[in-house]
Amino acid sequence: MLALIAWLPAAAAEPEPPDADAADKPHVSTTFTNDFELRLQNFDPTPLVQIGGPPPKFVEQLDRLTARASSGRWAANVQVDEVAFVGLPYEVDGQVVHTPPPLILNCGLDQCVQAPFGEHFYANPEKFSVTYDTPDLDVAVGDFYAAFGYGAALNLNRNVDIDVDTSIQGARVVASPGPWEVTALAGMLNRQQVFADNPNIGMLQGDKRHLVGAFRVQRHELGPAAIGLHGVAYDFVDAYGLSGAFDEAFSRTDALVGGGTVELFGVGGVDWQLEGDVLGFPTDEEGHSDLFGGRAPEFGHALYASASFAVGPTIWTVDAKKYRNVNRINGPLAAEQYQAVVPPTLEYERAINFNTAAALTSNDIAGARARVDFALGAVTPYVSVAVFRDADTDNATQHAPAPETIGTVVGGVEALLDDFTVLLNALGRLEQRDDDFGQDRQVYGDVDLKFPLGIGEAHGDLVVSGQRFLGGPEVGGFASDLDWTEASTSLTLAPTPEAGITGYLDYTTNPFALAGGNLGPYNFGALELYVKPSSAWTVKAFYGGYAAGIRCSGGQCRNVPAFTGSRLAVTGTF
Amino acid sequence: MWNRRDLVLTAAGALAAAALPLPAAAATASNFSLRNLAGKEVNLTDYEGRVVLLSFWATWCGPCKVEMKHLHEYHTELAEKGLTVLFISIDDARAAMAVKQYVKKQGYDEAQFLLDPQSEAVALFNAKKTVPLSVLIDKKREIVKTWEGFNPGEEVAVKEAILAELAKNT
Repeated sequence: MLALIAWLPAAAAEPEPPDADAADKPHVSTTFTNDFELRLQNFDPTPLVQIGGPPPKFVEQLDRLTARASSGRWAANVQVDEVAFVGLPYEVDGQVVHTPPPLILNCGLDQCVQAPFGEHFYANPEKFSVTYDTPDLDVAVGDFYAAFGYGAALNLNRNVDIDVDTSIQGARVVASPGPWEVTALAGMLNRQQVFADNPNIGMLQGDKRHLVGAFRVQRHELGPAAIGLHGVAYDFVDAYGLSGAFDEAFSRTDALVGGGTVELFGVGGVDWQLEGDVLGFPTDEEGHSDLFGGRAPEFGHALYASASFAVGPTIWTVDAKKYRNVNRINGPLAAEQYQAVVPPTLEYERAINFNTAAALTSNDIAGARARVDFALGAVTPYVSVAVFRDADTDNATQHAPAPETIGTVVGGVEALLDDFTVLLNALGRLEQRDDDFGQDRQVYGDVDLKFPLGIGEAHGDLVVSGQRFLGGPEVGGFASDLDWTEASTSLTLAPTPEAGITGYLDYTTNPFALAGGNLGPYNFGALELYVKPSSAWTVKAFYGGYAAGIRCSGGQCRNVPAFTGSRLAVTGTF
Repeated sequence: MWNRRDLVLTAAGALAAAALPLPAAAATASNFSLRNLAGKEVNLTDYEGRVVLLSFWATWCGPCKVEMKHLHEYHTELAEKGLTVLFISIDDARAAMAVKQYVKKQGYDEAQFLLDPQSEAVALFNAKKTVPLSVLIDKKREIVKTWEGFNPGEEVAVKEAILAELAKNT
């Protein structure tokens, strides 16, 4: 890293190639995007929220502004998030009060954030960066994202599907001489404080600025291959805030990952992707024992292989994985609800839920999957079969008192016709535990149907998904999981591409959906109007509710609070 | 303490600020360097003098797949007239093979599909990481128009905008 930084001034001083990127674009360009949202929330009796005794009705106002300015090779980016709670009048013991809910809740002695604007308003420059970009050298100072290989060593990115956004705040240098690419980075993990899509009651919390340093060398276009070597070091801090990070900046390293990747393009008619990593945890007994539950640290490994090839009209993909102690790196990050290491699960991720979390959290899992897609023009069905062996029994989130064998079958079809679109997936999953501890079973399905309404350019869009989870019998004193059912339906009617109305109906008996529904104990409903006044602007108005729960996407899961009320959102780019 | 008047004024002010039309200044599209599904390096500057449409998508995004079918047709139909469509996946690093599998089964041109596991092009053109999102860049490498989201029928407006740019001499 230091060597690269030392090389930077020399590289920047070299005569620049005749690249149109720099010389002929001297003026400053700016772009902005803005998301503004008002949420009138009818309070939902979520136990978490009841602790602070919040009012039954209040308004949450959010704004996320991103700005970018660039000139030649230089660019600056900033994202400013702002949230405010405004109390609406309500009566307590005959007196009208306006107290809004707090942004900070369950604040322990050492994890409070400073609230410079009071506990009902917060504004923060969540992300900022300055970049310098030449054909052979890219430098970023500030916030950036990073991913090495296929995610087993380092995979920090924004996941918009579940509103998780953790960046690295520090410096990154990427040098690309010819077919080589050398990356060095170091910084602190920077979790977003303001959540854009979900209620922020009590969500503002102290941030442990865990430290990461990483290095990677890649050689591209080596015949039909690209190869890479990488190393990543993690230092998990105990104290909140910047001071916690600086205090530990030169202390012991908690986790080290070293590995390599190979990608082969069309070798023998097959595309290959391979990754192998070794994980070490040089933590002494007085260190972060939570990584191994107080036990002596063990080495870990991650092995991933994937091959894809065509046989006639069929496209085959065969994947295999073997991970041991990989997820331990994510342990210290659990309270802040993000992950730094996210390797491929090989499972159909829309069907992963809290009860089937072995796909994500197991520290000792191996398995393989075979998938075949039938390329039949506009209609492409597929079938996928996977088998895994999960030997991890000391991970509390997995509900596994014994090793288990997991079998999954997924099938579906995608039809992209002129006027109709059908996207259909169906899954069956069985987790068979050893030693007469029973089994978990799950069936899941989702379908998205887009269709013309027969009047001008009017279209409809029906999206339905549902799953049934059966926790199996209670055997041998092990408290099996509860059975539950979830179903979700939305229907959009759009008279023009620029406007439409969507109705939502949800049903859940999932015990992890903590709140009752706005239409009944298990039922949620909502209506949403949207208008696109221009191609880059959208206005949405929502009324109704959706459930709390644990949602999984992109290999990560997080708790999503419930919402009941109305919402006005204006988003745009300008 | 906020009262209802404060609330209304705040809401109105914020809404007005959000919708404020700033002076229109053409933004130059910054260069990026990504790898396509064949492992080749692709720079935006490789397409100097052509009209470029960047289409951000994800394997889990249904509307993206519907829009992609149209955009890939435009790419094939209008390539000789000067159009290049680059599809940039926002899937994370571990989904690289899933991206390849999807492109193969649809019979799309792998060279036009780019991986962005570290959000490099995303940071330049799609800071919110919205999908689908399309950015039209003219022959002088200035951003002409952005489309956020996709509803059936919107592809018509996209094609009209592309044709208008292709018809310009500079």
